[in-house]
Amino acid sequence: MAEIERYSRFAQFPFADFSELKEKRILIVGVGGLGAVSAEILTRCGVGRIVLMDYDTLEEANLNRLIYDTSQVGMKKVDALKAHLRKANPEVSGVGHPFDITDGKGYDLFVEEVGKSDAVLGCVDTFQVRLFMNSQCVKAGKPLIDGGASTDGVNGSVHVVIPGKTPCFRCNRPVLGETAPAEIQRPESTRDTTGVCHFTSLPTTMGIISSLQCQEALKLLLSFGHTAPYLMYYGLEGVLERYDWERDPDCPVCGDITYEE
Amino acid sequence: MVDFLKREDDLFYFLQCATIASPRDADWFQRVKEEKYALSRFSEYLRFLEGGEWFELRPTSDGATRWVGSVRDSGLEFEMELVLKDAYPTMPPAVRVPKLMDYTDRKLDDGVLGLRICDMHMEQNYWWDEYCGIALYLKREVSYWVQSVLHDMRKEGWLK
Repeated sequence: MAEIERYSRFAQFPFADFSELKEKRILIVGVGGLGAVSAEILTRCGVGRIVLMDYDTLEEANLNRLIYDTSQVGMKKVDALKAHLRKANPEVSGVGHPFDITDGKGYDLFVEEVGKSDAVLGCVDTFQVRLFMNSQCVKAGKPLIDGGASTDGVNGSVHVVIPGKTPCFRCNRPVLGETAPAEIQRPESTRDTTGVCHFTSLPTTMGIISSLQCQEALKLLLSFGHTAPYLMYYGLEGVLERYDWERDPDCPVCGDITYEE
Repeated sequence: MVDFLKREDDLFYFLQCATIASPRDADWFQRVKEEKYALSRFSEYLRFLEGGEWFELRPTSDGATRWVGSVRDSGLEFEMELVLKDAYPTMPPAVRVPKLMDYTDRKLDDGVLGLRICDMHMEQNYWWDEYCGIALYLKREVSYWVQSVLHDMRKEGWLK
């Protein structure tokens, strides 16, 4: 298929030149419900090089979400996804690292890839790994676009960390998203009382959050629109809130970082 | 931030470490010394105020990145494994209590341990920073995890 035809629906986009994506490199950490969808969107948009990191193996329980197919159960997620992306857009170069980014070889690769990437998409389900990704991205001066969904599966958030410019993951915590708009009565988290750590995961919410992540990534990569530092999606009410919260000048991670254009 | 946690009358300050170093850094062994010191202070505190400590932990490797020991509650004792990954102390330790992992949903996948306990307070209260160490993690997360899992097991009738 001719390249010009594949991307013809981007040609009239009035705010940016999508052909610039060919020169961009994106690192996606975690390729489950969020990361796999984000990878597909960015692949179809024509991002030149997409690097995937996830140590996990595909299980049947993952199949309620998007992208993966039943025959791929048992494969490393990064391998299964790479095969899918190659079919979706063979012009995009995909690399997969099936390692834990917080230790050993995965740690080395992650630090190296952050340095080479234009942006990092955080699509993990654990708080600890978010802390680490945030710290490394701030240190390397690379944007982190972190997505997450609530334990009940219906709400989600996207946090865009531009080191030195927008609040990092450490600034102003506990999470601002815990304070819903006044008209919304959110139920108390049930996490401490039920102890459920294997959360509900809805393909609808995952699709919405990963799309928002990609939208913010495209805005950053192609320099159009206004980056939203924090977006909170309330699925039960159908509300999307933007929070322009402030950086914490005393933040131990990003407090002394200055943004450079 | 989480000032209310830092004001509480607990061990928060004197169980912290002073050196920020990961297992890959030159200062790591200074950090390990501080970790061991904090653990001994925690034990001392528990012996003095509660009549005995509920945990035992010792490093198994030269680099002190892997620790083993046990955790006690209600007259029961369970083996415990603890791993400090290369990303430590930016991220907290990973802990596994093998005999309890099958009886709970309070667990998460882990790249090194396979499964680890879920740090329930961490995400809600955001209390961890690079000065926090193993001793505080035991106090704030492991202790709570074991107590709540045993509570659930009794409720289900799995444990008398």
